[in-house]
Amino acid sequence: MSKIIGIDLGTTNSCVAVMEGGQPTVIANAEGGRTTPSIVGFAKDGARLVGQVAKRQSITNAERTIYSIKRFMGRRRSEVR
Amino acid sequence: MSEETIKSAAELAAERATRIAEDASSGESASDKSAETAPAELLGKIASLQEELEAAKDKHLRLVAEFDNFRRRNAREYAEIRDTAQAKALQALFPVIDNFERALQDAPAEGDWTPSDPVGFAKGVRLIRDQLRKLLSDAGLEEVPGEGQPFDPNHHDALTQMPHPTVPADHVASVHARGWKKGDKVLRHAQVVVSGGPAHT
Repeated sequence: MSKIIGIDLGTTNSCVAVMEGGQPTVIANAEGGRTTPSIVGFAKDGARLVGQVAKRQSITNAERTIYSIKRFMGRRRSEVR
Repeated sequence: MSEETIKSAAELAAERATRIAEDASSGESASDKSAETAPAELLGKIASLQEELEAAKDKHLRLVAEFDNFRRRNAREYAEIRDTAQAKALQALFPVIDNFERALQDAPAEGDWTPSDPVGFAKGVRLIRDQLRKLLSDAGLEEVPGEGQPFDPNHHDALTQMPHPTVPADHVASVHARGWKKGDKVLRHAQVVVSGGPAHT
């Protein structure tokens, strides 16, 4: 049977829920959080970091960490600069 | 191929088609006869299918209700287990607060106060800290290694980055708040200052 999944892509946090027996159930992330920061970081060793992990290293890796990307969606690079 | 042979082939095909159509119509009349005998059989089939449908609908309704009950009971049990586990974990803290009360029994609730034996007082407070630490380690908790470690966002939470004369870049220069983990699960990430390497002059 097909499943229904809902994704809330927020500016600061995102959340994913799945319909289970007629009720929406939020899927927790690996750290147990029901929401995940909408942040992606690219570590110096090339590893891709998502969510809480990306948030914790953002201060040390500001140039390679992306947050609030939703604000820039659908805009041209020239409009954003 | 000449035009003539094409025509004759088309005629042949047309002839064959009419013959097939005639055969089919005669066959139809034959099946009409058997259709008259069918209703009783079909009605029986409909009745048994309807019965089956009703049974399936009923079973489905029961299952939905049962699942709803299961979900409610599950949520209640989950809350109970959580509360019990929390209470059990908190009970271990009672001896610690008892010792704090003992350490502070001579101190006034307000105003300046110097313990008569400051060294002994500090020793006592340290003992209470060690008691609390033992309690945490008995519960399977470990401190997250801090100073001098390479910065790892899986264990550390970077508060800021500062130049440091001895600690290499991207290593932990100092720990603001200790991190704690239980097995692979980090309960609190160590809040750290990350070194940016030696200051550029």
